[in-house]
Amino acid sequence: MLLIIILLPVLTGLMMPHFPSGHRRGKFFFLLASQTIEVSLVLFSVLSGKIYASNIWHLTESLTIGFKLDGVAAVFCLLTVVSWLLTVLYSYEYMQHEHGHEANFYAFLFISEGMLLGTSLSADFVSMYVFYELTSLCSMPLVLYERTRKAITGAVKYLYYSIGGAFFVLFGIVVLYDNTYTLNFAAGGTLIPGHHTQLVLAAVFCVILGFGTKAGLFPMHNWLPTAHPVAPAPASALLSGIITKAGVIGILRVIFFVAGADRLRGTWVQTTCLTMALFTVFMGSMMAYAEKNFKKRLAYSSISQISYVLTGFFVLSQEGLMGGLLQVTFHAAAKIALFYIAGILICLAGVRSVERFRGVGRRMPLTFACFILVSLSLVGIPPFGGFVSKWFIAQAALDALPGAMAYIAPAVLLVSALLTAGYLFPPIIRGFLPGEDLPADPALRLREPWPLTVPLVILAAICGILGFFPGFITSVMQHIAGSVL
Amino acid sequence: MIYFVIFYPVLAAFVSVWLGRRNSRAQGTFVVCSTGAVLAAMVLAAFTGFGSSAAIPVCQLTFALDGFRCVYGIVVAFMWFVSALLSPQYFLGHRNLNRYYFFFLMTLSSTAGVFLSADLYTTFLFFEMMSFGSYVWVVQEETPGAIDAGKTYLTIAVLGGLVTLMGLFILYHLTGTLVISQLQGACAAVENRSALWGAAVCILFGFGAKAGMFPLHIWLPKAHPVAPAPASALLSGVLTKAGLFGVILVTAQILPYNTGWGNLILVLGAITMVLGAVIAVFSNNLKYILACSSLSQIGFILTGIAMTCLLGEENALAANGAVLYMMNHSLVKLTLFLFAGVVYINTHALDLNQIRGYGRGKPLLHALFLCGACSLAGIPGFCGYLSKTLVHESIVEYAHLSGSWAITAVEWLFLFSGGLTAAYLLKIYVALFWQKAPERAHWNDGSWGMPLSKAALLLAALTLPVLGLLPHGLSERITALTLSFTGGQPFAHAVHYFSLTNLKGVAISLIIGALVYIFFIRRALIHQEHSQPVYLARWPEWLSLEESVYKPFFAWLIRVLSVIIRFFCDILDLLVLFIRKTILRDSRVRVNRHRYSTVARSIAKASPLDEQQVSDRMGTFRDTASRMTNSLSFSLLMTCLGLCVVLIFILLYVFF
Repeated sequence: MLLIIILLPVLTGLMMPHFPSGHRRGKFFFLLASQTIEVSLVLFSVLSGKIYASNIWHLTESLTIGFKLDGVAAVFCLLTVVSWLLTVLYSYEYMQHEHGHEANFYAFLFISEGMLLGTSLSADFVSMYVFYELTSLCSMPLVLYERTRKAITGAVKYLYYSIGGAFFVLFGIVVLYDNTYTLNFAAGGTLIPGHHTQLVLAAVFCVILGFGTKAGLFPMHNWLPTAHPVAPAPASALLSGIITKAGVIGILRVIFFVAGADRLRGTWVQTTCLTMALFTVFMGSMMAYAEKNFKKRLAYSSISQISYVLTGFFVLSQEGLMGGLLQVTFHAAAKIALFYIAGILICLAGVRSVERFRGVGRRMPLTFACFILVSLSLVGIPPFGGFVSKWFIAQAALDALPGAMAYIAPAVLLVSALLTAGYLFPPIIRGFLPGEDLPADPALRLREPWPLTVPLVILAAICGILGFFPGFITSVMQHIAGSVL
Repeated sequence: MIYFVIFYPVLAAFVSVWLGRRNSRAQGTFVVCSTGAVLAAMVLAAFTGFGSSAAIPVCQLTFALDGFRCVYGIVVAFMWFVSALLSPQYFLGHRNLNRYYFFFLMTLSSTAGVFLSADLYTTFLFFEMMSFGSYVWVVQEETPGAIDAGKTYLTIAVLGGLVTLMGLFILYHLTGTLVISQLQGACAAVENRSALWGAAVCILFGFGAKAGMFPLHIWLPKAHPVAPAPASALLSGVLTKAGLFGVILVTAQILPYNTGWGNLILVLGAITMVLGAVIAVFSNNLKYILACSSLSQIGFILTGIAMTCLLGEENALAANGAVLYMMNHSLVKLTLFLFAGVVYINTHALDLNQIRGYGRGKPLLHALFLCGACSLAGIPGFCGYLSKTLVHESIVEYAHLSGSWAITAVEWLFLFSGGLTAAYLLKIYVALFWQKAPERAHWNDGSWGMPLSKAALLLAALTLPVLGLLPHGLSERITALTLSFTGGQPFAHAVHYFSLTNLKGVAISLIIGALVYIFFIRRALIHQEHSQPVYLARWPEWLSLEESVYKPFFAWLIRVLSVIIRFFCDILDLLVLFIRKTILRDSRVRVNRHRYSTVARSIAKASPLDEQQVSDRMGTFRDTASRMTNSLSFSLLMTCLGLCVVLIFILLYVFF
């Protein structure tokens, strides 16, 4: 079952270049159908309640490639397939406005999906590493799509940083291999007690640093603002919203499933990582605040928001993990929606810089209404989704961290939220309130095609509804977090 | 019923937009009817379901209907209703009405939510919704002034909201509950008092910002005047009270009877009180004066709240006075801002120089203004007198109890601010109703308002003498309901409102007011030009906390931080760049012959070769050299050399 889930998108992707050109609509329906099947497969496996597990291949006697669908994997898989489904819909309209080889775009889009699902579903460290690397490689062409100088620079930088990060991970794996009972993931960790404590900690730190590259953790974050904005909007939405989460799941696995929260609590690794994450939270917002290009601003914002997740994880408590998982969900929804909006603005209004947003809101009210909702969620204003996740992360920090850090962490999160408001609200205000001298001309009204707005509205609704009725999703996440810790 | 009060306006908001697309008259009527229905529902809820509570578990919202909540719920619904009555006339021919009515009704829902909430999570949620909804009121006119004011308003609202959230984080961490009725017990049990204080200050920050407390008041005098008048009335009358609701909550539930806390509120309140009144005296714009007056009145109320806290078991006067003061201020500002709205509808101006003499020959308008102004100034017979007397007496009582000169100073500041209140009201009154109109005035001298607008003003103004003339029958009964929330004690003995001692305080205030008007305003702020009075703007521009302190400071902070952060952000890229420029240089061969042309020229003079040839040869030489240094074998050679050095070092180290 799990193998089908991973292979279906890969096969779909591989078939794309062989489609006869010109059948745009046919291609689109094929992709949509394939993705719908994929979503139903994932939903079926998650809802059936069975824990699917399968071993594919033995590299050596102790190293295997295997998959397992546990709670954490389910969250990430569901997020992935749903976002891909919405993005296929969105791309159908959007990619008409791009010049380039569309089939290749879809091919790599779908192959990356398969790889990403593989990363989430991996049952052991080595297979996760393999799929993680493959995700980087397969998503690189998405950045390269426009073939401009900027795109090439961005793609190369993405590749270098990813591979650089992966080397850190590799080092960690080699060390951890010797010091664990098994590299298979098991809740609570598999470290052999009392074995080379400092070396193991250093290895864990290296792994976190390596996966942190993808998650945009300081100091290896700087590829995001170069690479994300140059990709076409649907690709940047997925890169920023979902593919960065490959790093998040990597860190989650190594902290809670390999090293074990108990072994890390109170060590220098926790303190350093927490400091790094908090610094990243602040830095990302600050840079986004100073940035004028809207897509680049969103990329910086991703750096900041994903580090909220990591902050939640590094607290190493059940509540923190739960807050982190909630933040994964809500950030994905909000950030994908924001990149969709950026795409709509580029292809319909031709606006890239936030300074030129004046009056655009009047011309496309629906898009901007969604913009307001997702921004409020991203800032963390109740009753929107972002508030729920931030509440749990801050509570976890206050409850579980020692000393002054307990108060610094929520304070940093809130300062960053303030900056988030500072970089998201002014464009909206400029868009809706151009001033009385700009006449309200109905002729300027832009009609957004429905494939562009439907995914956007769905995402905004997710932010709103899950935020207003947080009971269900929090209890699910609590259950998952409880099974890990 | 509670659900109806909170959720019906949301529904009505959408219906009003739908109606507005078709028929804007029907929209106005619909909004009036909706707010009327909410008022009816609220009154009904207060009488049938008093003391009940309600919860929506899926949203984790809880509501309660106890004394204070009932009283203020009714005040909110009443004010919305009255304000909606004026709206159809005020917005005749305005654009973006759909937006206005949508947020008008949405904010009704969220404001009612704030006042009816039973736990702080619900309070905070509705509080934030209220802030964002009312932002739209401020920018409704889309003038540059409005957009600028909106920016300040939103900044303070977001900042306040987030700091409050920090406070809630800490509070929840310390007590494990946010249910308001459990807070008092839970907070008393907290060991870590300094953290509790931190939480209280953080919560105060957000609610105080909304109330307009110094030093977070900067948005208030900017935002209230630029909003449309019906909205200003609500901003001033109700939204500031939502802030005070939070302040009372912290004072009464988190740090009850804490002297330090009381002193903090007292100091901030006293500053706000004097500051607002002083600016109001200097201003010439009708709505700006009213906005500053709000500021000052909030200061009075904060003083009352501080006294409730400081007096402990003997706070009957202060607790009753503060709540009565809040109600009085709500209703007075409703009256006066609607009055300003009427003036604006007819004259399209707000500057005293332009609207001078507008009120002459309009007896009803005259009477209505006097109702509001007298109550604000605290003339006996109006509601304002009762509340001011109660708070004043409580200060006197505390000054007597503590024997501190500082409290006596606060008492005098209180009287002085009361005097200034009378002075700026006198300024408006004389300008509008007694002085002659400027010659080029071209307003219509007929009816000043539609029947609906007249009804609105009458409804708002008549409550004031009714409350003021029935101190024991009505006012005290209302405030007695609120004591459980404000942490006040019931009156131990009846208060003689119209006794000589109590009248003395008002008399002092009024005398100060008259003196200020005669000797300061007439002398310094009014200039006679062709026997016509001209009001001068004498308030120095630079004396603005926002423009001269906050903005420069934060601009500087952002600049410094962004430089530092940018460095850290790019640190890895810089490192890579540094390495590429030094150790791992690109092995691209640079051919730059012209760099050597000066050298080549001098060599060419002394040799048989011409300049170009020398330059070429030198270039070739350099190329070869760079090729060599960049080659792999060169690197190996260097590594080899390094190894040799290490070897020699080891040999030397071992043998010697």
